[in-house]
Amino acid sequence: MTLVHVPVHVPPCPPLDSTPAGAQDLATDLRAAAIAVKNVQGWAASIAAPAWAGDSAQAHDHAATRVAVRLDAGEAALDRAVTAADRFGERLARLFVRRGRINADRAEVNDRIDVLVADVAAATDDSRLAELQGRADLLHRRASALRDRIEAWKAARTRVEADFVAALQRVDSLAEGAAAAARPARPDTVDLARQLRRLRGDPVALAAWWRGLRRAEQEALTTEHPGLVGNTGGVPMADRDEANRGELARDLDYYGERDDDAQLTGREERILDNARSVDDALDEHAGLTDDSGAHLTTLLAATPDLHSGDGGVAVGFGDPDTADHVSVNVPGLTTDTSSVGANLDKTLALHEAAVNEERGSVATVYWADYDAPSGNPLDPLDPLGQADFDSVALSGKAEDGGERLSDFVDGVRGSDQGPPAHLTAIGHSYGSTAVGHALADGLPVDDAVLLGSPGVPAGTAGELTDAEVWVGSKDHDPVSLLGNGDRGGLGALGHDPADIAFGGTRFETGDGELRAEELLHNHTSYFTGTSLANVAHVVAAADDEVTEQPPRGAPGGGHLTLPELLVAAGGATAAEGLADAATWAWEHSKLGGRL
Amino acid sequence: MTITLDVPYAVLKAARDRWDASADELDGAWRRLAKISTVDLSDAVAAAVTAFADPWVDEVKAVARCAQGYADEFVFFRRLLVLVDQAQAERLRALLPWAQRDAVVDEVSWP
Repeated sequence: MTLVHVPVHVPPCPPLDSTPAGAQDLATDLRAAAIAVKNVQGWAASIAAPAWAGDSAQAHDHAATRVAVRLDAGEAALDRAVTAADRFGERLARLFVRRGRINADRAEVNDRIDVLVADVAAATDDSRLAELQGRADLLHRRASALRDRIEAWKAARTRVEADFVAALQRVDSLAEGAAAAARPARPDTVDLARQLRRLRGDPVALAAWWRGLRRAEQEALTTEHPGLVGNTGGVPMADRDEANRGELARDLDYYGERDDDAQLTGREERILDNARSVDDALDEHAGLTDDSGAHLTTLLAATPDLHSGDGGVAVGFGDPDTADHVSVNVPGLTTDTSSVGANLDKTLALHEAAVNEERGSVATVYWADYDAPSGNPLDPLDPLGQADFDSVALSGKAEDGGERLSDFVDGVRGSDQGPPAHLTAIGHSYGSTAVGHALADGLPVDDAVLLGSPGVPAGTAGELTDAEVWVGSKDHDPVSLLGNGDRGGLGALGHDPADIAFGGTRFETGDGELRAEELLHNHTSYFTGTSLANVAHVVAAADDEVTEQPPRGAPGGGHLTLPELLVAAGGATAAEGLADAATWAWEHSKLGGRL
Repeated sequence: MTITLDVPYAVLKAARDRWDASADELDGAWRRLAKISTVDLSDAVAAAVTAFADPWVDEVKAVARCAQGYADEFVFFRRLLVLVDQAQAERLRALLPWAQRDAVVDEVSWP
């Protein structure tokens, strides 16, 4: 038989020597240092001698003036390094994606080569010679093109690293830092901050303005005002993440120093505790990367000194700006920043379930940037609880939380890229009440999921929102029996959305076990099993996959009232059951449950 | 000879606290730079990062020490209760905000 020249396998495209996540971590360290230096430089400059005042000898001897000038060089050098590191990470991410495509094509070509080899070996005569030779020629061309792509990729990898090294080398001395500080083209962060503040409240306009800035301007503003950039709707989520991570690292450094010196005030101690909780939670998931090799987690809001010292935080898995499906998950009572770790596990479970739906890219956000009540609002016999959490105050915190949630979601819509994302708001327990208030104020989401809800501020889904409302309520979850419904209910926080009159779609969750020791579990297990699968279906817009169960009050939707449940679960009397209903939540939340 | 510096105590305390906080801020910064992450970076990039960071670690550390020294000087002057010469008074004034540059340095005249 005539010889057929089959191409050899194409070798794999080599890995990146520097990874996108590694560049992100480097940039975070540089930002943290830049933020700290700018904090001191800004203060020193604010009390320094103006250029036009005083005699020069006096100004030269003035300590703050000298420090301001000296640190300005470091500030300029760090800004340049941050900008270079950011660009480096972005270019590495593009190389990462490109490598993935090359290796996918390579796998396909090598598979075809293997098939051809087998076909040639099986050929006993020249009857298929032309066909086999034609396939071999085609594969030769494809293999050759792939090798060229790999060589071009390797050259680009070398170039990207060399550019970054050169950028760092341009500011790796004090003299070069001073020269960078003197450059007229240096970003004017005062003017940039003024413009950003002016556009706050208009996320769409702000997003457009931000996109028009140079990278150096964005980075200079980020390290000058990380709290502002990191928590303003309309700033791209990836940039918010960078600002918040930089500020978080700076907080750990600064308050850590003061902790070592035993100088922390009570407020500073809480900030440091909050920062450490968030840092630990991010560390726990640091090994997860997205399709571009960057960290999967994104720190989308960080307000460690707000909310009565509890702090606020929002962490995403995936980038909400680019995802096809975005969900924002709001936790409930007793939420504070220290609980972020456990709550992120639930959010990650939902993220993975939604990704596995394979209906497009997904970003899943845990949002706890509101002042959830920390005490017992439900116990009529608790004087402290009554004083701190009468029904007006309780409802007020949900309203305030709803407003902050609306601002955040407006930001998600404002910085969204490409076609508008399919957006779902999820509220668990008291968080569902906060989501309810946001919905009542026009929260711009496509779907709303209310889990274990103690009530929402409308009698029907149609009165509440134009979005589709989905309800997960286990009949043996006592918190879900607090709202007004077909068999009564305390109603302090509004209507039971699982009630037939409400008109939402109640999806299957199971009822949970009817035992006292399982009641807490029933309330805190919506992110598992059938319930989780149904929430994931909603998040991924797979509505036809959702399995339903009858609303309360509908045929097949019979249920116990809260006092009846507590009696049945614990063997108490009916009279005791009502009192127990009020104290139940607090008793269990102290044991670690989150409502 | 006894010298006075005509500055409110609150100004002195605020200045001392801010210099001290600045020292903590800068200590955090140079320590962050000194252990800057080079994980998952190539050898060439890691070397360039270290070469960039080293001089700025030294510089920020030096300014941090200055700031701590200034904060400590306030403590020192407070312990003196009174300033013993004009140079000390002018030195202390130089650590205050520029707005205090005209604070009166004066010799106490004893009856």
